[in-house]
Amino acid sequence: MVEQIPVTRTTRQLIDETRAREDAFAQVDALMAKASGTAHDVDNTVEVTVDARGKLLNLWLAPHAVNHARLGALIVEIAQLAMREATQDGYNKVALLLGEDMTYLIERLSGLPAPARAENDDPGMTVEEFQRQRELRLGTAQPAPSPPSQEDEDAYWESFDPASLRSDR
Amino acid sequence: MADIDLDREAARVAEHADSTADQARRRFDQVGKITGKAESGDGSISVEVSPGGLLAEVNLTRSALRFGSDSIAQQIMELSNLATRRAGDKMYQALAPVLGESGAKHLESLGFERLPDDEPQVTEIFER
Repeated sequence: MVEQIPVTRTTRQLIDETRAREDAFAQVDALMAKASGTAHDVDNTVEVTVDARGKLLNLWLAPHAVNHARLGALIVEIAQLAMREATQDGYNKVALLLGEDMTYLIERLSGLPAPARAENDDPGMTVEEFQRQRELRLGTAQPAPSPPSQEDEDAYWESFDPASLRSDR
Repeated sequence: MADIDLDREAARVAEHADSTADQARRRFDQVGKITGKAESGDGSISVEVSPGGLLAEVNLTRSALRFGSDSIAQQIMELSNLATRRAGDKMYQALAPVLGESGAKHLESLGFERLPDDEPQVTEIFER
């Protein structure tokens, strides 16, 4: 239940505040329009720069790119990575203008959360993961070393003997 | 003293937004997935983008690879630019009737604009 608070400010003050808020929001569009993100693959075959809406601003291909078996798919993949960067860049700019709370509200309203806020942000695409996927695509994959599973870790801690730690005395 | 009923105001805004979203959803159901496509004159390079311009697909035939990487990059740039404007045109046509006049202006500010009737064809772009 929202408590009703009597309005104590004058109409003029309310109008001024509303205009100030409108001005701030108008700048959000401009800031998002200025945001951009760049990404490239580990081999530096492709470099893509896009704006926060995903529009291609720059595409660079290394001379050896023409030898890549799936060049088209690689360009699309790198463009998507670049857009994550651009989205984050946009929100970083907006947060400077409107503050963290308001930026969070905009993320909620737009349905497009800042990539850095995602729980799995880091494992999203690490260099190692990219390399592994690339090797899989090219058919030169070495079986990836499997990361320690939760079960392994639990078993380790169950059998862990604190007495095995060195005393600091 | 005038009190602002925040609950009622919030409900009114939410109701309006929901009804607009419903109408927009129905429009998208009618027109299907909105993308923009463009293809080089010889058909060796084609791109597809989402509204806004993010590359969704890039297809290169073996013959396209003979152009060399700089030329391929430049052609993909030009094709994606054209495809982005085509996707924007489709978005405008799908949403402008739902959003009304002020909403249509907002669509334009997002880069979703009608294409002029004399939009150059891709073949013309590459015959320059």
